[in-house]
Amino acid sequence: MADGKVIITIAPTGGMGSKEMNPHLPTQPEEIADDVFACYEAGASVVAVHARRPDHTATCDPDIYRDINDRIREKCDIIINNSTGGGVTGEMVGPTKDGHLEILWEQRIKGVEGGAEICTHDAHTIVGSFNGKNITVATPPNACRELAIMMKERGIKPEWECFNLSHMQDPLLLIKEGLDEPPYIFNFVLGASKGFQGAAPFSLKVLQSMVDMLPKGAIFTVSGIGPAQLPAAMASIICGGHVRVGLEDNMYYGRGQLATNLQLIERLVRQLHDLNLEPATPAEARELLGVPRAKAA
Amino acid sequence: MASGKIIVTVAPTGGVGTKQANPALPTQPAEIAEDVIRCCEAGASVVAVHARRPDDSATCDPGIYQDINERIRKGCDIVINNSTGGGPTGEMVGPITAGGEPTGDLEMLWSERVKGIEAGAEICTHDAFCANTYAPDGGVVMMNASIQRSRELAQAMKEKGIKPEWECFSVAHMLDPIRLIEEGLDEPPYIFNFVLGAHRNIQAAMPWSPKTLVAMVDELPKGSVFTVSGIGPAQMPAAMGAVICGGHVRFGLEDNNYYSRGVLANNLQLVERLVRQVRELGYEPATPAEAREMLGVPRKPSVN
Repeated sequence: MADGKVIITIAPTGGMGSKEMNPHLPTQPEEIADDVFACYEAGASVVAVHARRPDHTATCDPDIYRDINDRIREKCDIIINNSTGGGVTGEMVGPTKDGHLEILWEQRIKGVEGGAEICTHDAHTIVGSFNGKNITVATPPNACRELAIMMKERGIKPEWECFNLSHMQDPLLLIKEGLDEPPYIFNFVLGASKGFQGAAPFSLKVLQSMVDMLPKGAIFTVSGIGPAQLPAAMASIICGGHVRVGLEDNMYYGRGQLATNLQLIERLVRQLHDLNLEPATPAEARELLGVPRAKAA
Repeated sequence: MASGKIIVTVAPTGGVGTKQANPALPTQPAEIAEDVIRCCEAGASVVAVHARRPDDSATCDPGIYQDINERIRKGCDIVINNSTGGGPTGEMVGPITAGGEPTGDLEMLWSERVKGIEAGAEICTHDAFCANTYAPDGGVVMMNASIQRSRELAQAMKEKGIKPEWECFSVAHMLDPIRLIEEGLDEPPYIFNFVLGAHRNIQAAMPWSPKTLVAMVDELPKGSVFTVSGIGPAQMPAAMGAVICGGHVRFGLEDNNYYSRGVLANNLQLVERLVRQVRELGYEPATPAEAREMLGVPRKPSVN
């Protein structure tokens, strides 16, 4: 809680949720932009954007990302992060030569072409299980490096997304190779074990072990999945980190009670105030994250 | 966070603070009872009582404890904890002697501390360790509980049906309680209170950090219940740390005089803020009856 400012990231959409699961989930560019603006006004300073096709399936299509990004930037100066993970449906998923399903690398890397200031970098290989299907997110070391280089060339900050301690290893290697500069941005996603093999459940102990592994000059945020969202947010703050909330990570406000993105942000801001902390503004978040203001699209 | 209920303990007075430092500090029996009853209505289910003489100096006088306890019980059924630490002032403090001669060093007199169990409290603190404390006047006062003294106090509590609250300022302070538990001097649930951030007042007390709390939680014997008392600015983050580790929370002016930087608090404000946070996290404060159940503390017969 270094300077009393906490960066709130809103993750409004994600790559897995559907309007059937929660009718408040924004999936189309205008819906997303409207929701993000409301969250920005309530205290969010970063948005983690996932794009969807008009049929709501997942995509990393730069044109759709650009449409969403432009609409958001017309309304506010929130920092924009575009996912290079995409999601588990539609054109993102395809068969490998041996018949397994994977999230296609050539689709994922399109995520860096939409003009975002930050892009997620999942520098690990993991198997997701959704609707009875196993889908591999394959990011071997050479692919990790390739994506880090692409981001560096475009002046995009990588957000190293880690579902467990071992997912920090490749980011640390790439940082050593000079492919990122401080502040290094880590996102610890905890409690995703239902969907992803080997993802760590949330506990303060798990989080502390990941914090202990951070390189000097790192900044971290925590994304708690499902019921872990609330305790993980508090845990992040008391460990000196920042917080991501939103329907990407958690559909519920309370047990059985569907949430909206704005409700989740408003609750977090109330909690911060009771902890004598303030949400960072986008300008303060840029400073903390080392992200320059993007040029107008 | 097993049952979804969080036990909120209010520590309204303590043995160190003064009305000069915070005019809202209740020190006299009627003031304390009035404050505690309000905090109970706001969601506190346990009170950690310290007693003071009419001149506000610290005491473990059972007559004064009894007066406070009775006034509280007239107004609410909050679980009552009386301190066997007292405080570093007044009659609590005396010279350490060697061969009958004062050594020039001071201690919180054991003979005074053990009086804390004589006033009908349901729980009493048990500080089963030795530590130097720094008195408000800058002097050093030893808290001296050898294993023999700690055992003697645990036995006396057991005979009276009082639950010990094992107070620990570091992981090392858990060792004698665990030894006494293994000797059969306490039954589950074992109540531990982790006081974190008291290093300015007590030698080698651990500062608050999530890592320290996790290390202490890892050492808990099976069947324990724990609460966390964060000192000063550690109060809010330590409270959140306790809740997310499955523990309970102590709040109040004993531990922290401020609502925020430079803004003095009162006990009710601190309890109200904590209860708000507990509810935002999806939990409810335990009622005194639920707290008794969780702490293994039977209701004391009314003293009236």
